[in-house]
Amino acid sequence: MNRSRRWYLVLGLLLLGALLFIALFADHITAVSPLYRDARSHVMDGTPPFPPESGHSLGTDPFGRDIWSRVAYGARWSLLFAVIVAGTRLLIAVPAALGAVFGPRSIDWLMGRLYVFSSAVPPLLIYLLMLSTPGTRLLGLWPSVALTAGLLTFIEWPRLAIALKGRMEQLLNEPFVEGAVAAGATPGRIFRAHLLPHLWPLLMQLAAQELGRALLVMAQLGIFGVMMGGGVIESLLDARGGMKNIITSGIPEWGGMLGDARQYVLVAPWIAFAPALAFFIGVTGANLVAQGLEGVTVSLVRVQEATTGRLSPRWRWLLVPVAAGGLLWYFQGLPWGREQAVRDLARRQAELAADGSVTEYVATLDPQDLDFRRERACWVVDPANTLVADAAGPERVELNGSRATAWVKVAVAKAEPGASAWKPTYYVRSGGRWYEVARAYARLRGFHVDVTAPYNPNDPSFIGVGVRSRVEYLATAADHAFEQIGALFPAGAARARPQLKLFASQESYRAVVLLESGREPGAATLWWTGDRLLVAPAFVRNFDRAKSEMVLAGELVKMALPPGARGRMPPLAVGLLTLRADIAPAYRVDFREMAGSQLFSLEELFETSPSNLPPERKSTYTVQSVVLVQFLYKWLSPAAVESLARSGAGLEEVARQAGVPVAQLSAAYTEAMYGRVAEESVLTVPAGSKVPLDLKAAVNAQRASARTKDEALILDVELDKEPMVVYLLERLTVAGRPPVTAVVKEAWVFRGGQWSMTQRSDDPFSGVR
Amino acid sequence: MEPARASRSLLFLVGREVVNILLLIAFVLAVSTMPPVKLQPDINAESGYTIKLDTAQWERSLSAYAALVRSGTLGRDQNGNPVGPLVVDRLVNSLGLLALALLLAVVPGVMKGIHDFRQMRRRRFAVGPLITGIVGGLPDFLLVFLFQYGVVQFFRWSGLRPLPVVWFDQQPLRSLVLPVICLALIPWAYVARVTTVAMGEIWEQDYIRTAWSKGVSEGTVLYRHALRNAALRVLDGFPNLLTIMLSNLLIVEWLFHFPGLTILLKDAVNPASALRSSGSVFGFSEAPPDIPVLVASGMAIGLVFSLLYLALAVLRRLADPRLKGGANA
Repeated sequence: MNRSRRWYLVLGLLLLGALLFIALFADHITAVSPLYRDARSHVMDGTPPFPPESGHSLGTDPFGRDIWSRVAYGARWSLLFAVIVAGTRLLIAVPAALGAVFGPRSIDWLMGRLYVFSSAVPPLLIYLLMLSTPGTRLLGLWPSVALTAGLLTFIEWPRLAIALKGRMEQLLNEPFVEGAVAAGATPGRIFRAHLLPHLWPLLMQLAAQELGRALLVMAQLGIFGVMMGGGVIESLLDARGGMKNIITSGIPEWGGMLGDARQYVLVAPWIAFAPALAFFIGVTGANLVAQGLEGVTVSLVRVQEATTGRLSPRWRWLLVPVAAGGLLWYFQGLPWGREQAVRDLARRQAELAADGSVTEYVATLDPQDLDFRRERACWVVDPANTLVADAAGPERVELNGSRATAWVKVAVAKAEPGASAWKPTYYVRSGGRWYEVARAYARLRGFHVDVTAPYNPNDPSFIGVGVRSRVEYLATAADHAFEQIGALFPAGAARARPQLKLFASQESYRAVVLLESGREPGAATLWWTGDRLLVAPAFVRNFDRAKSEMVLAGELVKMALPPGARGRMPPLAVGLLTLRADIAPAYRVDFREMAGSQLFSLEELFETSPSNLPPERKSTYTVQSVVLVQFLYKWLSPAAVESLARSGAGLEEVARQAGVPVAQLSAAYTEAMYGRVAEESVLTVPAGSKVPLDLKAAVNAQRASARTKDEALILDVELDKEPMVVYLLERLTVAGRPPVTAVVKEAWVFRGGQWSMTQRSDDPFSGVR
Repeated sequence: MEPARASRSLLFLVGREVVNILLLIAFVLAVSTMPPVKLQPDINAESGYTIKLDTAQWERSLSAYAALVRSGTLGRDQNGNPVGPLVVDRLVNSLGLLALALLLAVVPGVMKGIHDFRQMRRRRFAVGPLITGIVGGLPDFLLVFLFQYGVVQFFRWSGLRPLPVVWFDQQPLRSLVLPVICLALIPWAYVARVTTVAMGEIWEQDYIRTAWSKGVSEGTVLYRHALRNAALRVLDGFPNLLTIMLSNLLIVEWLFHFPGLTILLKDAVNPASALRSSGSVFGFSEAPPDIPVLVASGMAIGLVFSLLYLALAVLRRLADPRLKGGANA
């Protein structure tokens, strides 16, 4: 019989060990964050839940979150909850049982009542009644976790206490205990020397059993929609294209996953399958361990001999306080010196910042967070942007375990002299030292791209939903953009994993751009620093999925280019990427987006870096890049164009391959570009023309007055606007220079029997006229 | 499990169950009239809201229910149907399911237990008990998922639909098959395990050795000497068994949409489910629980549980010859 038991123990430990392994190494064995939502960019890819496929080995849930990743990270939380619940039950039950056996009779009576009370109804029913009222879902994440864990502990500990009490009473009747009593042993001695060695196996067995029970109850509650990990509100695109808000499991946790899955059991069974299997492994493992531990005896004396047996019995007890004190010092600092340590650090930081000793200042920052260190170094170096901390140290320090918040008074240099503000600074104790941390930032790991952003994935509030979905969209858009790049530049994309940093404020974005590149970002909402992409908060406001993806692709492509071509954005790559996203033959030039922008010549196209161009010029650049690719197809095969793009070739190389002189190629391209824009005008067809006849004359008359040769082609008229909007393709020729073309947007009114122009987009010809 | 429990007088047992039932009524009433929470947006709070208990509302709903009880009825649900017949109807369904499952669990369970016991005595590594352990540790919902998914896959593969995967009014008997199996499997494993352990303990007794030494056949020793004594210990495990079964009953009824008490209870707790009317989460207009239904159905489950406990305790007393005539064990 015992041999079988040993096998059960081994098998159970193996199962639990596997789960523990997954929990510990979740970061390494998953591809993406459990929070990353793969909502594909194209309608043709369908909408989540996606079935198991490459990339999602276990499929995704209705939000597009990877199930394998959620199960793996969920192992951490689920096991932690189960251990906390089981451990707390035991922690209450053991002293209660001791009290019932050795203490006053009232404790015994009270415990009996509690047991009767809590076992009068199945515990699951009590949990359901108490936890599924709507109010508990809105408590917020951690309060609701605490409530659930507390209830799970409180209802079921008497059962354990009764079992322990029964075993103790049984042991007290044994002859060896009676002998000890007769010899005059104290209750403490009897417990330690005679009861404890026999109680150990039972305690271990009970712990394993409770672990299984706690896991099972979490699963059952999840089925009923009561999520141990609280609920957060997420917005989900439904099939009709509308948004709906849904309460889903906040932190990834198996019970909550089951709760999310219950509507999809028959439609998308993979959603429920993985967490259910995980629960099965956990529960079975715990049960097998409990079965295997039945009747196992552990000799405490032998354990003691092997470990602390050589120490003098008089001082042996010191081991416990010394160890506890050491742990406390390491994780939190000793109670009396904690606040002072944080204050000292804040003061030291202010001094170091004032001195400009960057290296020492940076050493006080979170060693894990290199971005934070680098950015802070920038702030310290540049005195104009530094928020100068008051040398007197923080006004108030709030301590919370191994974390602390200090309220530091800072002088705002940019505002009027003497102005100051209170700034919360976050500290964390790590490795026995305090460090400052950037607590507002969290990292979201996608398939290809990491996004660092100021958001809280577990924030249950309504405001949190908006921020969260913007970060999600940024991550998914960047991810898909990089996927396209990977298809085009396989070698380059394999080298790089892009890091995106979304800033909390425009100010900090500007400061970092200024200090890292020495230039003003201006209107540019994205900034490429050479190894990561800085994103202004304005970029994710009014987020347009398809367009943002293209813009991001235009920036991220720089990573994939060969080293010589980095930093520049070659038009061939941009054009090919845009064509990949759109369907190539159906690509339409949208002149509305180009309004107010001069067209690039071919030479300019290859020399310009569009990163810091204003938006309309950036769109023009993209459009022209696409037209360039389609234009080159006349001379070169698609494969040749792609290989030119991959090598980051310049204009000369392109012309050489095409077998045409640069000047001739450039002239032909300018003509082709003019033709493509003109083609988009429906108004060039005389029959369909809705343009007032005299408007054409008026436009030309206005041009004729100019000193230079200036001809305009009306692309479109928006008759329903007041004043009327006219889009023009305008070509200006100044003597001795090649002609310059631009798309212009003008406003015209018909007043007093004649047309007159009232407004014109920023003059794209300012440098020419 | 508890020798002390069995040694008390019958009257004490009945009295204790009555106290339990009274406690239960108070508890269910308190929980089901739980004060509705009031939410107020608050920028400073971590969750964005401050939450206050609406105690005035609690008082109102409690007194409303007290008035209802004084009038001598159980009230009407939100659709205007009288609660009494509704609950009785559902209770009969639930109890029927429970009884069928219990029947299916106990007899085969004991047989499986004896089988496991014999296997464990003979082999170094016994597979039978391992299977019992695994089935016993199967989460109930996984069992339901597997059965439902299996039937659906079978239908896709063969075009035949042997059994409804959720409750179907037109085929009540066939609809019962899967719920009963799902409800019975885990208790079956539990009974088997308890039997194995009990047999293991009995096997060490002197009278078994005596029987062997007298040359009695294995079957006689096993069934006449050992099993009869082990049966008492199996009976001791029944309260635990009931707890397990009732928990599973909730899950099985919920996942099969069985017209039992669970659905009634669940709908009463949260009439407009927050998942479905998710918009109302921000609208501060949570539907209040359907108190008469909630109290009646919660009470019904609790009562069944208490009464079954009582019946078991009485049965246990009558079955154990050592407890007859008030003698202490």
